[in-house]
Amino acid sequence: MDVKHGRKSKLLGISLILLILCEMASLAVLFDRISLYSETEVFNIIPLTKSDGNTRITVISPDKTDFADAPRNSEAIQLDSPFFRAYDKDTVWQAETNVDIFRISYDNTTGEMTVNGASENTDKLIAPGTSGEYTFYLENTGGTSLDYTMNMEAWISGTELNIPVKARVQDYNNNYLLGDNSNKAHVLELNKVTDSGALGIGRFASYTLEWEWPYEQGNDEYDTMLGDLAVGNDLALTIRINTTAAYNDNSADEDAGLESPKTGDIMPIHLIVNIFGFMLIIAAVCLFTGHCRKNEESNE
Amino acid sequence: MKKNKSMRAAGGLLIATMLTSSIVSGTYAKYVTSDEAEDTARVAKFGVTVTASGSLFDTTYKAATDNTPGGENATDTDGTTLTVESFAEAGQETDNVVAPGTKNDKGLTFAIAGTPEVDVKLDVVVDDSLEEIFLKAGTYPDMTTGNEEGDDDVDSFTITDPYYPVKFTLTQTKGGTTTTLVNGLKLKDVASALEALTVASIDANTNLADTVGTLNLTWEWAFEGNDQADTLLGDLAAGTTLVPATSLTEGMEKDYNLEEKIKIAVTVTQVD
Repeated sequence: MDVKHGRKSKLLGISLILLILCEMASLAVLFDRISLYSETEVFNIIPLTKSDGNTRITVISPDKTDFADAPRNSEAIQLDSPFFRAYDKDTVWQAETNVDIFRISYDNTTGEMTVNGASENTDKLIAPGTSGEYTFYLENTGGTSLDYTMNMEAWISGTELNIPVKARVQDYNNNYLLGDNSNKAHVLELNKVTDSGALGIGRFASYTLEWEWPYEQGNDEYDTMLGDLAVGNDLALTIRINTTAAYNDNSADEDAGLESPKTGDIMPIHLIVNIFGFMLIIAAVCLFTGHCRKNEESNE
Repeated sequence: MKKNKSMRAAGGLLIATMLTSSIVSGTYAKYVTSDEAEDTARVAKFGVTVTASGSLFDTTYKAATDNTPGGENATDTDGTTLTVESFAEAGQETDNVVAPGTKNDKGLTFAIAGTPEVDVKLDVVVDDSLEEIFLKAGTYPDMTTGNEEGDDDVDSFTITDPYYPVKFTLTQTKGGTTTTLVNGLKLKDVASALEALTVASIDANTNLADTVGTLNLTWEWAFEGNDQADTLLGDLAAGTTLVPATSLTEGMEKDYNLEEKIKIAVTVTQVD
């Protein structure tokens, strides 16, 4: 009886150790995610704050304790999102990423470069006859569905005059958020472009922004005046795209968005390895328990 | 008792594990993330200037400046100030005139400048309305010898080639160097030389002052040229009756013409 009781205690002890190991392992699995938010030597305070119509996650630098000003402070650092990424063919967006909606030079239909800044100048340019297309993607890389919003801004600086650039925006379902199949709207109409939706796990949404400064728009004098004004002033057009994402708990959104191609670059390999490790441990415990019971039965 | 303690510990750890998960997942659920992408482009510089200055012809020509244009308001105060002075009937505009011995060595200038950030093309177009003074090859009455109607032996003169009394010179200055494109030729030759300056495409960031530069057109009607032809042209302009009577018609494709006229358009256009 004592022997039997001793074996049971031993079994419970082993189970206890395994549970401790499980606890440590689960912390280890989750720690790499949690640690993303404490990489820098800063206060471990992550306030959610509003700024420019967007919610930002910011870490406040050590010498800043006034959180009220945090989002607008240049020392605020925006963190990478572990569950959402916005990107284009060249760049994964970070906070205030500079992307290539415009270019430094443009070729015409025959491949000849027709617009080009001075060699010492890397400013991006627009001019009559230039156009461009920019596609970006919003992807759910996390483990649950999320809601997202996307909106665009456009503004002209350096002049009160209008720059006759036209634009249109299309979503991944071929719906036009601005303009239509045959028409583009004035670029400042981008300020009205906003869209929201849900993304299931591993799903993505894409948007395509097309812009054009028509070569023939019927007012060569106006175009020329802008080009001449640009000699002494920086007449600039800026387009900004804002995205915001948050988890949701709606299982109905699991199929929202397009299915991501399985490239492997976003697979959580470490998580899979850890789960596989757990399974091995559980299998070992089962085997050990079974072995112990067998011994007990044979001893009885 | 020992079993109970172990069971409680195990249960506690299980709850802790579940709590860890729920706390962490709860933390995830609170997160809202945002990204911003932005791009700015400035309007490409154009800043090309085509400046036309000066003129070719005038209503008066001054003796003091070697019979060059004297200006519309010049007056012949002592009878020798002006060597050529256009006359207009009351209420009519005073025409620009040319005559033997007059010239314009300043002339008409086109200056093209700018360094655009777009490819451009240069078009130099001379309007089809071009006219110039000429006398077709042929035999004409010599109006310098005082022929009179009824004379048995009237004087005449013959020119074997068309006579263009006003000779033009076109120069191009770029990068500090001046090149003569047309030297003492007729206006049609100037038109051809100007139109040959057309360039289909000039690369962006090219300094046009160094590529196209400045064009200058001047002219002269030599005082000592062909007196008989000059006199005949002058008499035709005055409507003097030719002796002997000769039927000559005016026009660029006819026997003679009495006007110099050129319209030049220099255009720099962005290439698509």
